[in-house]
Amino acid sequence: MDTVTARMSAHHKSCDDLFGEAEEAAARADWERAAPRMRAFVAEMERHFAMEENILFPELEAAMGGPQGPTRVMRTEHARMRGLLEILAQAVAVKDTQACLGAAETLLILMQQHNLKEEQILYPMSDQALGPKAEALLRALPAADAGR
Amino acid sequence: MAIASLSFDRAPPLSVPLRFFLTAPLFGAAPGVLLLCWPHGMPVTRYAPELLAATHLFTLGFITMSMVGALLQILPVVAGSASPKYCASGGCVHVPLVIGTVSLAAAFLLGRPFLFELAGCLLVAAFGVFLLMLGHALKTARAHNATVNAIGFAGGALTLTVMAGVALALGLAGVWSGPRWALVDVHAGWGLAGWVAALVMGVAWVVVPMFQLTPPYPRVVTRWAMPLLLLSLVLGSAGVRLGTPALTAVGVVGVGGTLILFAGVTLSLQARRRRRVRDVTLDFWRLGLACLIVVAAAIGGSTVLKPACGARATVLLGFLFIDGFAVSVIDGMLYKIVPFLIWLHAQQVQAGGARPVGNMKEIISNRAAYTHLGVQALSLVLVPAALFWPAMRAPAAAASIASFAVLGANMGRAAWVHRRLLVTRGGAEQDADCAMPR
Repeated sequence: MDTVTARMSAHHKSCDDLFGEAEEAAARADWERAAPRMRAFVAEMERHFAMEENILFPELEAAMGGPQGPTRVMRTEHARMRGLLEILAQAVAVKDTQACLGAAETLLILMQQHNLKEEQILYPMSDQALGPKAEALLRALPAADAGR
Repeated sequence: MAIASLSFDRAPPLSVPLRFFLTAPLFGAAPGVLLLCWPHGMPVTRYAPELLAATHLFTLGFITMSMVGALLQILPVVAGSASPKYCASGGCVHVPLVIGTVSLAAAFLLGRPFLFELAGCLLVAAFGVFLLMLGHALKTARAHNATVNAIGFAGGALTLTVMAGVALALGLAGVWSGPRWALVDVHAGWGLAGWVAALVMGVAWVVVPMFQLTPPYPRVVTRWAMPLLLLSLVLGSAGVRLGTPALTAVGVVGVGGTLILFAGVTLSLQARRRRRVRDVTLDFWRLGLACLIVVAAAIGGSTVLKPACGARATVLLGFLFIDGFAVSVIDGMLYKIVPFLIWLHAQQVQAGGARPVGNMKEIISNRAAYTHLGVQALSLVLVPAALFWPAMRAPAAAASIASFAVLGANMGRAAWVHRRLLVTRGGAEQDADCAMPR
């Protein structure tokens, strides 16, 4: 069954795959491979943030009665991840393996605990709270593999 | 479900888990000091007072200390549960757990009844508060998954372990004269397989796929591992209580089989990980899981084949489970949890003008963590060697102490970064209102 939880969780996995490929290439100092992989990963992360911040969160906040704590926390974590994505992109650009792996490790933990909260709580809550509106919202959310 | 009642930003202040993580290495190093000081070499019976002291310094002082600290931190994330008053209650668990563990080790070494009574009271207080907090967190949990179930199971096993342990302590204090020795195996079984292994398994369901980007655990494993473990422990305990060795053997083989299944599946998932970079947590887990397979296979095999299993072998298997499996896995987890929490805290206080902390590896470097892994692996070779060759006692003790000293130094360095950030921000008291955004 197509739900917000299924669709967005699948996109998390898609981003994870790109992360793994980019990090491995950087660890091997294979910059020719690392640079495009990292660009693709950053682009997919931005697309995911945009889906949530522009479509999902506003709908959820409206359904629940205005901006609330959980979506605020999610937006704050997006901002932190954007900071690390910038550092990663910069490290790949200057071919700095240590900076790249340090930022990647930090981003991975931040990203995974963020995803866990969304997949365990926020997305199921969205499916429950949005009811019939969820179907229209799903049409607005791109498929998980659209960017690959 | 009301979105406003969700508490992503109400996890405890960093000082709550950190106090547990900083104390644990001190207790972990203590058995090595005891080994160095034992005048007659390493005891080769599990009931030797020195060995009972060392065992509880490991299990209560390091393993449980670290697991309680980590649980207080991760419950809001894993269970999505509301957080009780962590600041005060963190201390309410930590202080009696520290003094209770020291009292218990001293009671074994000195054989003083009042120390057993003191230890019993303090540990009941520590675990009473902790189990109430755990119960509250699980009751208000918004996520219902295999990990939350496993944490609940582990909490139940801890309750039984503490009850049996207190009865044993009262027996040693001369206050109670119940069926003392029958309780020893129940206490050890529920403590090691129920509390320690079940919690590691429940946490693994989440963190192994998360940190190494492995496929998820097969649903059949996460669904049936805990019921199988529970059934095995109940059968084993019933066999002990009823004096039916065949029933006990079924329970022991069931526990061993469940643990081998868990370790085998985890190693197989890790082999298929999508994150291919070198990772110290992964390597600590592999070391720990290899020890777990050896111990579970040896215990299960000896139950079925009934060889003349010597006292040395029993002590060896206990050591490999406690220090080889549990301590190694916890070491690996600490290298993810502690630098991340401090990095996250740094992000919050950098606005106050502190020098930025760019990433987790600037808090604890790969080299420092891998040095620890090497020393830990060395101690897992030398301590068993000392069981059979007394001349190895001093090098074994030195390696064991060094392993926890390196861990303590790494944790201490991380805490120093945290402290520096607080000072820059303008005072440690501000930690209290610096709850981590979960």
